[in-house]
Amino acid sequence: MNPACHFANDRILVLFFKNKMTTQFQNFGSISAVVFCAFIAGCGGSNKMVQVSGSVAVDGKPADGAALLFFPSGDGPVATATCNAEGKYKLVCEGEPGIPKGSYSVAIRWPDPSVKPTAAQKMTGLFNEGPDLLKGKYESKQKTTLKAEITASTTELVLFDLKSN
Amino acid sequence: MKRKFLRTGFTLVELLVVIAIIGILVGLLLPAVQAAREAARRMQCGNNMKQMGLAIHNHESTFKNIPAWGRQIPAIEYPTSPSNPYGQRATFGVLFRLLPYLEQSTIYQLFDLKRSYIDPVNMAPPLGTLSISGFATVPGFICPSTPSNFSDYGPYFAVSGLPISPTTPYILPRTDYRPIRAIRGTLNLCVGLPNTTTDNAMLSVPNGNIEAKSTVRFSEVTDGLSNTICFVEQAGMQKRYFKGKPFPGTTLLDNGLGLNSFYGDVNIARQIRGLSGANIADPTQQGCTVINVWNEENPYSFHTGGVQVTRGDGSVFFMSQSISNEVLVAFVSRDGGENVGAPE
Repeated sequence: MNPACHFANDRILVLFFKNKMTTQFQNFGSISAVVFCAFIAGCGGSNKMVQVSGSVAVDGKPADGAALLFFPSGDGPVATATCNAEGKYKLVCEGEPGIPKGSYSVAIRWPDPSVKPTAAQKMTGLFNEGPDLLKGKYESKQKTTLKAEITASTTELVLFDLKSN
Repeated sequence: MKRKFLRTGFTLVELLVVIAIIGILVGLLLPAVQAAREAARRMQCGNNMKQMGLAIHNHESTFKNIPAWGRQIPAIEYPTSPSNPYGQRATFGVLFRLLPYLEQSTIYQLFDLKRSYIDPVNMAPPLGTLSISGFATVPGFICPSTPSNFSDYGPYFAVSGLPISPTTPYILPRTDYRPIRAIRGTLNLCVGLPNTTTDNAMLSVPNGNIEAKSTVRFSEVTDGLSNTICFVEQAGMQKRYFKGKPFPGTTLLDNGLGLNSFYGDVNIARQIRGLSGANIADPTQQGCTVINVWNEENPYSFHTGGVQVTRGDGSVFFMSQSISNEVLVAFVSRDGGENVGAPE
């Protein structure tokens, strides 16, 4: 779990209390200010989780089951998403909905949705997803050329309109 | 004054106050007792994993190698009399081969290791002829924190084509601990590695040649035994758990059917993969979270905050579920050349 995701709201509260306290209890206020500052610094920058959705199309058709990985340009967790039958996705980061703001390079692969696990594969966990219909062009951080910029006001990303050839 | 000396009992109010105080104290104490009980269970669970780590080393000093998962007995080596009508050649698993070093040689000796565990010689009725006493639960393979205690292979063998009805129970003793087989390519993508699944965990078959060899030498663990994981907790299989809650499903096959017997081999050595962890409607959706999300293929325990892990040197540590995937991937590979250092 990204601590930064959680302390975003706390920070505003903390600053509010800090200002009130310094007027009433000068000593306690300054001590608490130091403690709170250390607390905030320890948690790194405050990135708010932004709820972002989008869609992927390949050759003009929705990419059912396409998997997206959003790699942050700096340090940070990788956000992921999987497209539904309409090619739409919602971003997820470390098991929680949303994505921290920042700039990302986007890796996309589209495992052949017609390849489904058999009952025996389901049980043994030996199912490998179908071949990438994008031929691996965008599958990894190194190969992809796709970018995305997430700001606090981003709600929907532009369509990733890809070609299979 | 006189009345005061005559008094011999307590008033109702005094009694009620005393009872209330005792009630509050017990109320304070109970959660602490529960936490202490879970701490004790976790410690016992860790001790089981430590024993398995020591068993690996005892096996190594006997045979100069460690058992790997997933060997298929070559067809020419397979005993022909009596023949195996089930046509399976998968050998017994790593955990089974450690039984003599966990003081369970009585179970070990009942089985014919030249044959597959899916062979009438090595199976209990109705599928085979072996005495049911060979299928006793080994307490050392069970984590006391795990709530479910079920291990029915009936539907599995039915789907595999063996002559058993899916509704006939076929109970094999379970395990909550597993050897790791590999990191799946889709999780490698999360850490910027190519999308390839390489069987290079500590107990994996070298070069993936499942017929040639089923052992690993310590010298092949070039990352160092202290920097490589051999066993993880993967508890409560055959029931699906998503982030600590039982996952509702209609049939066993809809849920997937986690197999959790230490006889099985391919079935219990799992490839670790990344999951989204946010979608309760589809828990298997791809993503980059791993630990304590979904107990099908990934490290999963009923302890809070992570799983316990045995390293190749026999030590046990608690791997936090916030461990970075880079460190996890480095810990799993035995010859990746990464520098992982000590976790947390």
